Amino acid sequence: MDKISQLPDELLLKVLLFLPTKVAVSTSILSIQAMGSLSRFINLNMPLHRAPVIESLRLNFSHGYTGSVTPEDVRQWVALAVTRFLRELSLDLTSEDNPTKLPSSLYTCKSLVILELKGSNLVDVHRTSCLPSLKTLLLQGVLYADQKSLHKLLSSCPVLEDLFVEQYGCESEHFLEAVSVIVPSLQRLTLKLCRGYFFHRLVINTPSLKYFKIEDYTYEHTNGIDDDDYSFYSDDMPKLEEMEVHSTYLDIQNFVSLITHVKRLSLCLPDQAENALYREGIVLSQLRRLKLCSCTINWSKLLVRLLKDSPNLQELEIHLDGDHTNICEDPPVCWENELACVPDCLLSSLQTFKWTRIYGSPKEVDLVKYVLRNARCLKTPTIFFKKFNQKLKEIIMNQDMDKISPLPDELLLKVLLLLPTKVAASTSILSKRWEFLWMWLPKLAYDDSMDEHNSLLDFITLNMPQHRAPVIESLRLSFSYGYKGSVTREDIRMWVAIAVTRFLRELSLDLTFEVNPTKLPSSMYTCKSLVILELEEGILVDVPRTTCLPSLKTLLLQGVTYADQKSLHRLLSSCPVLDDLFVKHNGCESEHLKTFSVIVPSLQRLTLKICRGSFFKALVMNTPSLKYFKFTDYTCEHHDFSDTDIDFDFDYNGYSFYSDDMPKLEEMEVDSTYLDTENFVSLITHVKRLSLCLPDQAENEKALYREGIVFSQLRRLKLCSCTINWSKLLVRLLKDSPNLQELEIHLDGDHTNICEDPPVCWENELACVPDCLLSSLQTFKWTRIYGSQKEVDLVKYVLSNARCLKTATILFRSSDSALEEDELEMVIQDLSLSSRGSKYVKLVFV
Amino acid sequence: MSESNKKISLISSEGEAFEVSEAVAREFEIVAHMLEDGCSGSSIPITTVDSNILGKVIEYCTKHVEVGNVEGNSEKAEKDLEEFDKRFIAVEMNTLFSLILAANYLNVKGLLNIGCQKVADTIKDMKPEEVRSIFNIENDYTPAEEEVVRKENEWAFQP
Repeated sequence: MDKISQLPDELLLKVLLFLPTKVAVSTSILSIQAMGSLSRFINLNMPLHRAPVIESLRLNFSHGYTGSVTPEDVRQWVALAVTRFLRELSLDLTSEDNPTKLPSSLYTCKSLVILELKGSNLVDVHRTSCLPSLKTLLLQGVLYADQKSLHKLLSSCPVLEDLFVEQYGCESEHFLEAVSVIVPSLQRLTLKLCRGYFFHRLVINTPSLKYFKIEDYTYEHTNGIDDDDYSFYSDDMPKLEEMEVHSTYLDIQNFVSLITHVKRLSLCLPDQAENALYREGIVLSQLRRLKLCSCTINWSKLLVRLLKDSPNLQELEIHLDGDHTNICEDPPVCWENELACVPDCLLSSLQTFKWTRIYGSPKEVDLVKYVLRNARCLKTPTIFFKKFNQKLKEIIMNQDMDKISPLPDELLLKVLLLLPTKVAASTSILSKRWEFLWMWLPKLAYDDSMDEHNSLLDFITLNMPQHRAPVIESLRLSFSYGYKGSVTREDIRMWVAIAVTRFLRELSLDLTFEVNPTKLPSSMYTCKSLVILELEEGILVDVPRTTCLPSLKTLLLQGVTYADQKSLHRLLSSCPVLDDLFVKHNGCESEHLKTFSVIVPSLQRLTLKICRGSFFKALVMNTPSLKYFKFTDYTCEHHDFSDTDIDFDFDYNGYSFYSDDMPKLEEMEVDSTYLDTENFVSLITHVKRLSLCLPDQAENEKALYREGIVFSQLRRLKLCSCTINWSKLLVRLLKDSPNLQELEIHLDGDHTNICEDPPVCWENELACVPDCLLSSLQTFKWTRIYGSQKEVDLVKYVLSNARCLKTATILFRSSDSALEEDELEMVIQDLSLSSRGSKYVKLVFV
Repeated sequence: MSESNKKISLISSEGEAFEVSEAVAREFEIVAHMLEDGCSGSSIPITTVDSNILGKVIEYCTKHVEVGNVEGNSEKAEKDLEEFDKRFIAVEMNTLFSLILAANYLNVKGLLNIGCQKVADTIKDMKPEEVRSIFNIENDYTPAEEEVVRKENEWAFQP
C-alpha cells in the first residue's frame, strides 16, 4: 500500500519542508528520467509555483550563470518571490562578473526579514526603499551603485538587528570609500574591510550594539599604497558585550573606549602590539573572557597589560588563527620581566586557561608554568601543541610544580618564622615572589657570633627601617664584636626605637663587646606592649621618671650598668605585673649598686646572681607572691685591688639581707657563700623543693640554721657535696624533713675540686634513723660520688634504713675517683649485696 | 546516644562522605565553630579539600583524639604521637602542600604546625639554589636584579 500518498497535503508539505528543494522537487517528477539544467528548471517552474507564500528563496549561482539564465531571469524570479510574501532571500552570485541589479520591488518588500546578498549583486537603492521588517542583512562582496547606496539601504531598515558587511578588493568604482553604519536598532555587527587605497573612512553609530566583530585586511595586490590610512569614528556603544577585533590598523584610542565594558573580547592585532598598546589606566572590569591571537611579535606584552587591567577575567584563550600560522613561530614572550606582581585575575578569578597551537618555545613554556603556578582558582588548563611534542607536554603537564610560592603569605611567613632570621632573609633571592616576604616577619633575631660582623650591621642598618611587618613581636640583637664600620650606638637606639613603635612584645639585647654601655631610647621604657625584656652586657639602664611598662612580665638584667643607685628600683616599680625576674649583678666595679632592692608584689619567680663585692651592701626583698627563688652569690674573682684607690676595709661577708615573708614560696635554690642564715631559714620552712650549696658555711658550725625548725612541706632536697661539712647539714635536714621523698646529692660542675673527700661523719651524728627514711623517702640519687669509705658507708646506711625506697642511683666520678677500676668493681659488689630496708628497691650504678 | 558518639559526615570536594565522630570533627576548628554556631546539620561540606587529602587529615585528627583519650602513661603516649606525626608528615612535596593548605583552611593547628615545620626543616641548611630546585621555584630575577638583591642582603648569604 502506498500509505504516504494518502496523507493530506499539509502533512506531505510538512515532510517536504524538511528536504532540500532539489529533493523535494524530485518527489514530483519521480517518473521523469532525465532532469534539465538547474536554471531551466527554475525558469520553467518558478512562475508556476503554487505556494501562496514563498517564505524563503535561496538562489546559489556561485559558479556563475550558465546556459540561458540572464540577470533578467534572476530579477524576475526575485520579483515573483517578493509578491508572495517573501521572508527570506539569499542570492549568491560570487563568481559572476556581470553585475545583477535587483528589482526595485525588493527594496520595498514589507515581509522581508532576512536578506543575504553575495557577489555581483548591484545594490542600487531607490529613494522610496523601505524594508520595515528586515532584521538580518548580509552584504558580502556586493557592488554598490553609488557611494550612498549602503547608507540609503541601512536607513530604510528601521528594525535591523544583525548586519554583516564585507567589502572585497580595492579597485572598482562600485566599492565604497567610506562605510557608515548608522543604525539605532542594530545589535550585531560584523565588518570585514579590505584596507585598500579607496577605503578611507569608517563611521559607526549603533547605540544598541551588543556584538561587534571587525576585521580588516590588506589587499594583497596593492603597490606602494599607504595601507594604514583609514579613519575610524564611533559613538558610544554602552550595551556592547562582546567584541572581536582582527585588525592591522585601527585607531586604538577610539577602539579602547568601546571595549572598556565588554564581557568577551577577542583580539588579533598583528602589526600593532608594539606601539599600539592602549593607554594605561583603563580597567576592563567587566571582562570575563579574553581570546588573544599569538600571531604578532609582541602579543605577550599586550597579554600582560590586559591581564593586569582585567581583574575579573575568568577565561583566557591564546590561539593562533588559521591564516596566521607562519607569522611568528617563536614569539618572544617577556613574561616575568613585565610582571612585578601576580595579576589580580590570576589570584582570584581565572578558571579556564586554554592555549591552542602553542609552538612550544621555552618562553612559552615559562608562560604556561607561570599561569599554572599562580592561578589559584584555575579549574581547567588546556594546552594544544602545534606539533605533537611529547617531551614538552611532559615538561608542562608532569613537571613538579612550584607548590610553595603560591601559598598565601601568612602560611609562608609561618614557615619563615620557624627558621633563623638569617635563613629567612636568604629566601629573598629565591624569586621576586620571595624578595620582600621575609620583611613581614614579626620576629627578628640577629646574632654576630657566627658571622662576619660588618655585613650583619650593614644588613640591619639597611633593612630595619624598611621592615614591613606592622607588628614586630620580637627583636633580639646579640653583638659580641663591637661597633665597627659605620654602625654607631645611635643606630642601635634607632633600631630599638623602630621596634618599639611596632607593638614590640619581646626585646633582647646583648652588646657584650661594648666597653662604654649603650643607653636605650626612652620610648622603650614606656612601651605598653612589651612583655619580655632581656638586657645583657653593654647596656646602660637609665630609667626615666615617666617609665611605665604595664605589660612587662619577664625581665632579665645581666651584667648591665645602672645609671644611678635608683635605676633598678625605678625600673622594677614601673612593672606592675612583673612575674619573672632574673638579675645577674657584677657587683665588683665602681658604678654598681650598693643596695639591691626587689620590691615587686606581683613577682612569682626570681633569680638573683650577685657578686659579693666590696660595694654591695644590702639585699632587700619584698615579694609576697614569690613561688620560685634562686639565689646565687659569688666572689668576684677578677677583682684587682692594686690599682684602686678605694677604702680597703671591706669584708667579703659584709652584705645584709632583709626579706619579708614569702608565704607562697614552693621552691628555692641557694648557692651562697654568705647569707644571713636566720633570715633565709624563715623563708624556706614551707618550701616543697630545696636545693642547697653553701660551700663556705657548713664549716662554720653556727651557719647551720637553728634547731627546732621542721620542714614539713619539703618533698625534694638537692644538696651539693662541695663543702667540708655538707654531711652535717644533710643530717640536720633529714632529721627535720619528715616527709622528704627525693634526695639528691650532687657536685656542681663549678665546684669539682673544692673537696675531694668529704668527711662524712654519718653514724656519729644520727642517734636514731630519721623519720623520712622510715616512712617517705622513695628516690635516692648520688651523682659524682668520689668513692671514699665514708661515702660508701653513707650509701649503705640509706639503703639499709630507707623502707620505702624505690630507686637508688649511684653515679661514680669518671675521673679523679678515689677508686681504681678493680676497687670500683668491689665497691659496687659490696653495695649490691648490702642489706636493704626496702624489698623493692631498684639499684642503679652508672 | 551520648554527645561524644554522635557521627558527622564530612563531604569532600568530590562529594565523597567521610563519617567521623564528633570529637574528631571538632579537631577541625572550622567545624567546631560551625557546631558552636548552632549549625546542626550532620553533614558538612568541605568543598576545597579533595577526598585523598581529607582522608589524611581525618587520619591525623583521629589519631590525636585517640591518644588524647587514653589515660595513663602520658610520656609514652606523647612519644608515640611524635613518632606518628613524624611518619605522617613524611610525604612527597605535593601532598605536603595540599595538607598545609587543608590544615590552614580547616584550622587544624597541630597539623599546620608540623607541616610548616617540615617545610622549614627542608629549607634549613640549604643554599638558595638548592631550595629553588627542591621546590621548583623559578628564578625570575634577571642576573642584574639578582646581583642587587644579593648585594643588599650580603649578610644573609654568607655561609
